[in-house]
Amino acid sequence: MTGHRSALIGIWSAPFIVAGLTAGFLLAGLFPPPPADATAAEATEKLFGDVTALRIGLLITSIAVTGFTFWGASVASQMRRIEGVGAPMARVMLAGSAMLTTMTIMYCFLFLGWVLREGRPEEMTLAVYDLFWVPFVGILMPTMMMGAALAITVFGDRSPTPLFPRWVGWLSAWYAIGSLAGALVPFFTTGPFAWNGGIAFYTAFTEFFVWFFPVTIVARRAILAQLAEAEAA
Amino acid sequence: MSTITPDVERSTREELGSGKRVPGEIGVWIFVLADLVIFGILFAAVLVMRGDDPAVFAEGREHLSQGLGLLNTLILLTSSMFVVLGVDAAREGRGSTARALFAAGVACGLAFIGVKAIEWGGHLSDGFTAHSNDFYMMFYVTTGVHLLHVVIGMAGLLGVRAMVRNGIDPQRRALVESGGIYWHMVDLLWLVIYALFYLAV
Amino acid sequence: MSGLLAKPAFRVWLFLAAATVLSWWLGADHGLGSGEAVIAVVLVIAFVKAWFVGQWFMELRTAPASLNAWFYAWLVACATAVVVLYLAG
Repeated sequence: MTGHRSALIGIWSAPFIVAGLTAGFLLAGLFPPPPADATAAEATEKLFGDVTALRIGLLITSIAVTGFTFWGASVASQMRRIEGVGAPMARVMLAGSAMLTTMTIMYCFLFLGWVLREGRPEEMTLAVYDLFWVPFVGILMPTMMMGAALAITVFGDRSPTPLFPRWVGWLSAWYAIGSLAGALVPFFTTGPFAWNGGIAFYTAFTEFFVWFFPVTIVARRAILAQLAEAEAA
Repeated sequence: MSTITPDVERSTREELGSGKRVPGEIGVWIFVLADLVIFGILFAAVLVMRGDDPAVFAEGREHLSQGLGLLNTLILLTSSMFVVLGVDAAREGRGSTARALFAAGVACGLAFIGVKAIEWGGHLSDGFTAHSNDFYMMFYVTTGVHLLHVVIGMAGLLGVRAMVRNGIDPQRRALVESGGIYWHMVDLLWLVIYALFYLAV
Repeated sequence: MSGLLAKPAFRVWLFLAAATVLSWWLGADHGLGSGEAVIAVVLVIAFVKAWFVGQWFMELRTAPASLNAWFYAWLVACATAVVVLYLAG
């Protein structure tokens, strides 16, 4: 089966995503994450302190995360080769990556809508602040689905020359379970499990990239090999 | 016909002359080491929070049931022994013995969960939730995350048990060993958790 | 019985169970601020037990040196962090 050069776009999205998220998060003040036990005044300062930077940062973030859907499609294109016709897990990978993109964009625009006008009541700003951060850190299901789908695919690869090395399956299984690190965000306003906590934010985000980078490299290798095979034929 | 993937091939073939081979397969070690790092971070978090309020942690520790903690530690150690013997039996082709030993390991896991339920039930009826103070927050979350791993491990043992029927080929051997390795990791982590919460803080 | 005792798994289990009971005896009844050094020892014992589980149960004993190196790295880093943070707290 010949591959598609366009699958490489998803692979090259990876540095684009990282650069975009770094710039966007820093500009918007999303990194380091502000406290989950903020007061209404503190939340207002966080959002309205530098509205221009917030707006630009959130827009950059929203655009950067579109890369995840391209990435998901690229990885899914290789998963399809393993699964064959129908490829249900490849579809889950794609769906999960699209969800990740969508969820992030939606919550960025929640903030963008809120800061459109001045003079919002502080208590309401605090509510919006919470409504961004709890989902932003706590919605781990899309990436969990992606990890699970890849693990299932790799472990189910019965061919004598598997497309992805088996350790990718194990890494993905680890990530799928480990992504639960963010699950306690709805319960706490302080400590390591709050949205700005050492476990829920820092560890969980690190885990994502520990999974994301090796998978990107392995997928790229597979895509290039597929394209080379087609050219040789 | 069995399919032996290159990874498993590499794990099972002995490195020339050295007699060494990777137990299980390399992937399970990636899983295990990554999990160990995460728990390491969790342990550090427990001690950092303790540093902020040692009295609360000391008091919390005094509320824990030393008897049940010790019992659970011994239960998991015993389960690991069963699993080691089970993997040995599986490799030697003694399928029914292996299956019985894995079942014993799972039974110990159930006992562990039962004891944990009694413990937590006791704390909850005394009015201590994860929001009561930092000690209880770290206690419930740490032992809770560990409990999740116990459940996953038990599922792994049951899966491995199902695989062991009439002898196992190298690919299955790698998976059987991997299931054992994961379970021993669960045991290992509890050894530290027990020392941390029941004996140290 | 001698058949069981001959098995390494059983001997290691016996040792680990004994080490656990020893740790419990050392640590269970200490009050705040007393015996910090003893408790540090209890923590180290826990990691020594972990080492035994790794070597004898997880079969790292017959595993390549590179794999052992990673396990040791975690063991030493984690044990150090735990003991240091405990004593500093």
